Amino acid sequence: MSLDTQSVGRRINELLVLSCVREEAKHGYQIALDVEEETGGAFELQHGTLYPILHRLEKEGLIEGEWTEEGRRRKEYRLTDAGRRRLGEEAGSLSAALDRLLDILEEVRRGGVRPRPAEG
Amino acid sequence: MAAFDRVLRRAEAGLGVPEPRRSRILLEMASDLEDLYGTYRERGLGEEEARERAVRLLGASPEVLAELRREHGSRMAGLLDRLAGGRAHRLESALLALATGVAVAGGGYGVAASGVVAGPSPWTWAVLVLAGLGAWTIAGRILALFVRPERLGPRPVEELRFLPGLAAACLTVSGLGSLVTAASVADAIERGGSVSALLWGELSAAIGLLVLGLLLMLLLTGAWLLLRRRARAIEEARAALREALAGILGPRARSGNDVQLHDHPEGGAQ
Repeated sequence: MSLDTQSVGRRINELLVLSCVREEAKHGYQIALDVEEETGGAFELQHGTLYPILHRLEKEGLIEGEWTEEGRRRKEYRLTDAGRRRLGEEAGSLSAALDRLLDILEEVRRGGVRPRPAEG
Repeated sequence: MAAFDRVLRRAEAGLGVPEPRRSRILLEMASDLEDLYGTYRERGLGEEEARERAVRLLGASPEVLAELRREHGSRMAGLLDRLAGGRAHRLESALLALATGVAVAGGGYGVAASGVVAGPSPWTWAVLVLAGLGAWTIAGRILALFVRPERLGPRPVEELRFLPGLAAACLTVSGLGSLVTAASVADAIERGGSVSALLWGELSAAIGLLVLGLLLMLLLTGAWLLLRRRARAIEEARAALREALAGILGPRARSGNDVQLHDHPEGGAQ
């Protein structure tokens, strides 16, 4: 299965967010924090990038937002059944594509940068 | 907290999303900023560092605000969604729409059949002027409630209260007009006029006027109920945002203008 490279960033962001709420409902700040921590700092949803992702996923019915009252009003998000299905599908397709990318990166790493063949 | 105050004002000024979503998004951002700051502090970070890290992660950039505008900016979808009022009210809204449709179709047929519009009396004109005033007002309120939040006053529900008044006035004027017309029929009959001609002429005009008034009253009341639902949602979202901001920005914000972010949508620095 081929992957549209223009959408890969958005899909990775969505996958990370869906993955964060796969076991329990979380508030937005917890999701942002967990993405950073669960990926060992490799991915970070900076400058409020989280919110358009959350709202898009909510509009698509992949997560469900609910306001809670615990001293102060907070919004927490949980994964829906549709979201769980999408998470499984995306994990499969992204992982297959990223495996190919990792192969290339590994090859580059092992081989170093090959010198350009001399002209003439 | 000054750093969050600036972030939220910038978000408010750049969000450009119709109410009550705008207040809800701001509330979500404010709440998350405060919680993230608290989490960092619990983990031993100093005040300044905790604040900076929270703002770096959740303080929306202009690009993110533009994306949120696009995400929430579909006017027609938003309008329908809001008219539906959420899943719990969809059945109620569908029934209301059905009742309005039946009323419009039945009333329109009745009014057309009575000939009240073909030869309007002063009473009919009075009812139509009231209806025009109602339509003009409803259009203005729809614009403010659904598209241009900066046109909203501090109490959107109260700003709608004259609509039921207009609805009652429509019914009262049409009822009075019908009575006067019916009385004139009785007078004419006493003077020896043709009963059948009068019944088909004046009396049907009186009934038509009454139906017109009833129809307009239904429409104005229906519009008032729908708009009031949205205005209430906006007031609730604003109140929640005000409360959250008062907690986050401190006691200064409780009495000052700082907490009234939503009252200055296009000018965050006011």
